[in-house]
Amino acid sequence: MIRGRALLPFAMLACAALLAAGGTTRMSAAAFTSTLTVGGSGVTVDRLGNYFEVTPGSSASGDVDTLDIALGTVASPRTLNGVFTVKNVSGQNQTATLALQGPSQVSSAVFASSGSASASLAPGASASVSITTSPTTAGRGSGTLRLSLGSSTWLYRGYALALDAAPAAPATLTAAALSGGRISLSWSASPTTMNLAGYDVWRSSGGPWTKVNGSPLAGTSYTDTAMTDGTAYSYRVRSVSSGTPTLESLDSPTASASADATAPAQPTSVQLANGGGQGSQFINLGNRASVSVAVQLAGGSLSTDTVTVTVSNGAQSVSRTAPATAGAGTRTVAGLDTTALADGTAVVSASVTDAAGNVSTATTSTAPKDTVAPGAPAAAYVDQRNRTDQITGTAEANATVMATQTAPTASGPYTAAASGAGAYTLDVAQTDGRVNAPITVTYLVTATDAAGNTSAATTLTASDRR
Amino acid sequence: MAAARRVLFLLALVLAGLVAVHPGLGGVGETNGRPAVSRSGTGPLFDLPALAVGSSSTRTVTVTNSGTAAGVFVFGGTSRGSKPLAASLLVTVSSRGKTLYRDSLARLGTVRLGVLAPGESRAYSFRLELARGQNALQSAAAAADFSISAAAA
Repeated sequence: MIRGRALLPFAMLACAALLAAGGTTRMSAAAFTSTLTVGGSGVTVDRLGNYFEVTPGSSASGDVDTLDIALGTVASPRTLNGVFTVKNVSGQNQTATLALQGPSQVSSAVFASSGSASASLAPGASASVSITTSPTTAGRGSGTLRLSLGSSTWLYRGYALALDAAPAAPATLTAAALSGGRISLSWSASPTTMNLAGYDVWRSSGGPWTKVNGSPLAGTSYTDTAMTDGTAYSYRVRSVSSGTPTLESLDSPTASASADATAPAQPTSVQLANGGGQGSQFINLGNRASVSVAVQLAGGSLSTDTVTVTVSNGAQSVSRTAPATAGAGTRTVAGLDTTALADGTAVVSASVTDAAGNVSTATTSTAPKDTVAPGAPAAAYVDQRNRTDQITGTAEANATVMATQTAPTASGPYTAAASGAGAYTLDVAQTDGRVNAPITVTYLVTATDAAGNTSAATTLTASDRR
Repeated sequence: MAAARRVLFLLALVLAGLVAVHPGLGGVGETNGRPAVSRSGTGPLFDLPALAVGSSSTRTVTVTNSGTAAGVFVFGGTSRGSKPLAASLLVTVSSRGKTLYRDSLARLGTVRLGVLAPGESRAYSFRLELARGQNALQSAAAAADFSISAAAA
């Protein structure tokens, strides 16, 4: 009895062990079915993180799955290095590939090591990514930078990429003083063509920089007018984007100029340098095509000044310029062609213009212009017996008559002034011809007026018999 | 002694019953006219820790009716985890040149494998494929429990 009872636990344990030995197969007595369970199947899809580890730079955050690139405000064009780093964490060589999908404000994203959008990485090797902004497009932009495993069409991550791209600054800026203390500025156009609102001009006279214009300037030049004579000013120009937010470029190069509102000193005198006729004050037939004018400059004249001479008869004028001399002195301005100006009284004026364009008070003088030559004089030979022969006749009133003997010998010239009525008598050479042995004499007779114009010559041929 | 005999008798009855209904004990699943399931190999049908899009995995399993009666064999499965992944995983069950099931893992219910006579073995191919263009499925995970059941024909 005791042994039988002792076998009971053993029997029950044996039953339990047998039941446990069934493993995954079970039996359903009710349905007469047998079922084999095959559990634990699992599928995990591959991921980029199995190949690459991404370490963000200062303008990015996240990891290989969640990287977010926020570049902030970026001057353009700029290359931002070390935006993030890609490391090959697999045990084999891998190729990392970048693909940029917008924004237009970014021109490229490359691996710094290769300079291209793909990099071959040995196990454990890293490559940093550089992003270059577009020189032509400004403004706020966003897009995606995709990092792929090689050329895989599915094993990639798209990283959000956002930036505010400032426009590119003008590359050059020049400043030049204008008359009245104005300063003219001009600059090269920004390479930025998209989302460019214009330009802001900033000025300093040694203190803080202040913007001198209101809304952005559309053009590439500006004239600053609110100036103090003699003060030096420096300028910078910034390109400004359109849209929101408003973004400014870096500064252009600085250009400086001094305001100059002071005109040069007035010339002390002006007169013809090659005037003709009496007193060498006439513009005549001989010099009218190339009149020269002498200008006496005042002290303080600068070599950067310009002398301007104008000859005018009221209706018409001609002008020429020449560089001034440093300090007091005479500057002759030559080559004024006054042919087109009618005869009469010409006004000759001279002024000095400084580099800024300030113009002195003009100094003027007058010069009579007479380009009409007298008519050929009438001339008759008066044969005086054994005395000085004479030529008489008429010419332009007050003209100077000149006779030159050409035969039988050359002599002269012989001159006399015509009267107010034009009559003249001219003593010429003594020729002693005889009746039976006359001598032929020849003179060329001209009349010259006060302006220095000379008539055509009258050829006078006579027979001296006495 | 009478009590000991009764205990031994009961134990004999239990052992006899177990042997009769359990294939693992006697090499046959059914000793009194029932089918029983056994398979080749061990472990899960699939264990794919880094499945690439566009790739596939195939496992061939030989199923044996280890019972004593013909049985209708049925393959079934349930999935858990990423539903998009389960919907994208294409399961193909085929045998002897005939496709028995070709659809997503998510839609897998039961698949009739056929009638196996006692002692008959038949090879079944289980193929798992992830279609292309599924970047969003990166690192998605799904698990599945499969079963092979046999009922008396």
